[in-house]
Amino acid sequence: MPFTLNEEHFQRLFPAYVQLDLTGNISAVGPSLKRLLDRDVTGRPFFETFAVETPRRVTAAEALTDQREVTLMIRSGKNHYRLRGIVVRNAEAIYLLVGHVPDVNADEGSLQLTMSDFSPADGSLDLLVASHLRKGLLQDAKALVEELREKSAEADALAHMDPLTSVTNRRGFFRKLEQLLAVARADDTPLTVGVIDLDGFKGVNDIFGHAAGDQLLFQSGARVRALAGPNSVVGRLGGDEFGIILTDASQEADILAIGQKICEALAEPFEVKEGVARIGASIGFASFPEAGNTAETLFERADYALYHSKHSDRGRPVLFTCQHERQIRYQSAIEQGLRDSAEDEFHLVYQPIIRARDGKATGVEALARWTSPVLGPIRPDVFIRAAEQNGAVCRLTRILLRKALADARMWPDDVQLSFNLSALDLASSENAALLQEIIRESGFPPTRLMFEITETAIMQDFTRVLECLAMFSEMGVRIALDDFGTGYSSLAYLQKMPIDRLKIDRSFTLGVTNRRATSSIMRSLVTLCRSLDVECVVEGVSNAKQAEVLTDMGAPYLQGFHFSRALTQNQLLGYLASHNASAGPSEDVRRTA
Amino acid sequence: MYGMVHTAARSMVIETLGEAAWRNVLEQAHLDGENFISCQNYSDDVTFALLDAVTRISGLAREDLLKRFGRYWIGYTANSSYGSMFKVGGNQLVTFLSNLNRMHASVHTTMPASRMPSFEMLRNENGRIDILYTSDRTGLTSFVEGLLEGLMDYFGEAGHVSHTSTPEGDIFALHCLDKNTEMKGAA
Repeated sequence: MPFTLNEEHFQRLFPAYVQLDLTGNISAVGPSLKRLLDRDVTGRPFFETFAVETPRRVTAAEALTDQREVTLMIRSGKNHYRLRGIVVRNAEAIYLLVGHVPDVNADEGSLQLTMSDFSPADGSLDLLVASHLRKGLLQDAKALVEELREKSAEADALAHMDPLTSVTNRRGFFRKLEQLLAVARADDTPLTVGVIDLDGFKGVNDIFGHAAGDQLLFQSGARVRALAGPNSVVGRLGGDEFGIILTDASQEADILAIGQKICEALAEPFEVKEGVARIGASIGFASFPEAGNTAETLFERADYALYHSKHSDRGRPVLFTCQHERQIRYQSAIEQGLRDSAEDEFHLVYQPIIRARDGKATGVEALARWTSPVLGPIRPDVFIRAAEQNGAVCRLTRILLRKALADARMWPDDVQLSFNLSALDLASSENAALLQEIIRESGFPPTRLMFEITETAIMQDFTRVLECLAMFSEMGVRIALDDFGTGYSSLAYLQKMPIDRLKIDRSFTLGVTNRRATSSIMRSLVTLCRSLDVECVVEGVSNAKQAEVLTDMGAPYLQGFHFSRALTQNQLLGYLASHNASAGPSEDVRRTA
Repeated sequence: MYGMVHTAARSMVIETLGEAAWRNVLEQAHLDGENFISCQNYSDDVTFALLDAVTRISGLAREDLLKRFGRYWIGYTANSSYGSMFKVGGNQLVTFLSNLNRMHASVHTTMPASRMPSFEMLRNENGRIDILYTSDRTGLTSFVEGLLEGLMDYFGEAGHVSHTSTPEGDIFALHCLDKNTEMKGAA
């Protein structure tokens, strides 16, 4: 192949060419190859400098025949290059025209080729530019992906952080719980879920204000986090409730020890801007797999253990046990029984309310009873709580109110019916309207009906409860506030709500004869009712001495075993007939007793 | 235009005015939360909406801003991961300018939606280099002026750039204080 190109053009076309004499010594190399080799190879034997494959390895100049495709392998520093080319041979020289550098194990940058090494017509130039451009574009893409990933991680962290306490929020806590539970399942490692409830937090809010409450929550989060250990997760689940996930403790004693430390730490005083606040904490724990193998079950059972901590072991940690499991099953059976219950499974018993002045039964409190065909008789506090929890209580109220009103129509006209309502009965005006309808349908005079509600019910939603009570008041039904003295005992409610009667809780009656403080409180409550022109019923009167003391204090109405246990409708009718006939204006409860 | 231009614009705004300003720019350009991808082609509407927003927020005159961005573009590409490509273009101003059209042609093979301008070297003598700039886009002469000034800086050529509009296109004259800019066979 005759060459007619001058040297400049030749070099621009084939910047990595090699020219040999016929004996195989290098007589010239192209500028790119010169830079690549980083040494002068002119005059040196070609096969000592390069290895050549055609594709088989060749070692003699004779093998470099015209138009033969060859691959030059070059070592330069740490890089190996494989350059493809073609042999052009004439009578004076052998040329290896190496135009492309596609097979390299080094990046293109190390070739140090510039555009000037190429002919403008050479497509290699496009490859060269493209390779550098691609490098930049890929770098940009990588930077963008990393930036987005960072932003996403930040957003994710923020989305799962409680801004007040800087611990994980409820959503993040449960997500983490799912993740750690999956690890625990796969690796058979321990995992315990804890639910922490601050005791007395509301008091801090009430006394010091919400800002102090927030400070206390922040400090509580920090204290729990400090004790939880590096592999644990602490989250704020809402309000004054925190969650904790322990992954390092497998023994009951270790879990309870951590819980005890947390309880103690939270019982230490908190310095808030407005002063020093004190609270306590209760903790319930549930461990995988003993207490459950799903996040939901573990949390529910930790919450169940917390309930036990608060009610029977306040300020101490409680771990969910098989005994709790049995209780849950019993509870579930009750809830199921309530859902499946027929109306005739429920009945009422009645306890008279006695007017202290003359010993006459002026009212009767209806008390619910349930005999399950499967579980037998269930304690009222148990099934009513279960009914409140599963929402069956409204249906129960309607069933029982119909029965009570029907029974009460058989009573003398001067005997009133007291009937207990649950918080859920007062949760909507629609519920209240249903009860109004039942009263109207019964034909029983609303003025002889008194609904008993608890302070807890009022606290749930004051405005809504007020609305419902107004509906009852309008039709003449009277309202009694039950268990007064055990809850918030807020006098504000007495002013704002249409309360006709206060029922003083039995816990005060217990000590009225032998404790001066209790006696004083009782006397104050009785006086308070008189001042407010509100009727007063003292509950839990169980002996003659109590009845006497209370009557002397001026308590107008009394109720309790001392007068009568709960009676069936028939027993009540007999009681009213005999008792009220014998009771007279001059007879007071001392003589009745 | 390809997103690498917008990415450079973002970099300039963040460097000079801060992150919040860039968020503001995107908001004003109705591009809230946009993350520009260097290798993606965007409509010129997007580019000019960004330009308008940056003009408003920076308080700079549009032509001044474009010129600054031209200079910034050179520094941005030369000092970023595109730097090696920049070096491939040549190690002297004249070499680089004479390779520019060919480089753009090669870039086009990777970015086929690109609409590349033309930079034709009309003169290279006594330290003056005349470049005829033509493009199917209008309104970017200040950007080109900034680019050429940026290139002079990059290659260490002191001097200035002047601009003349002709019926054939915009002619930019690079006046280099060093009179020895000629490269044999380059023009």
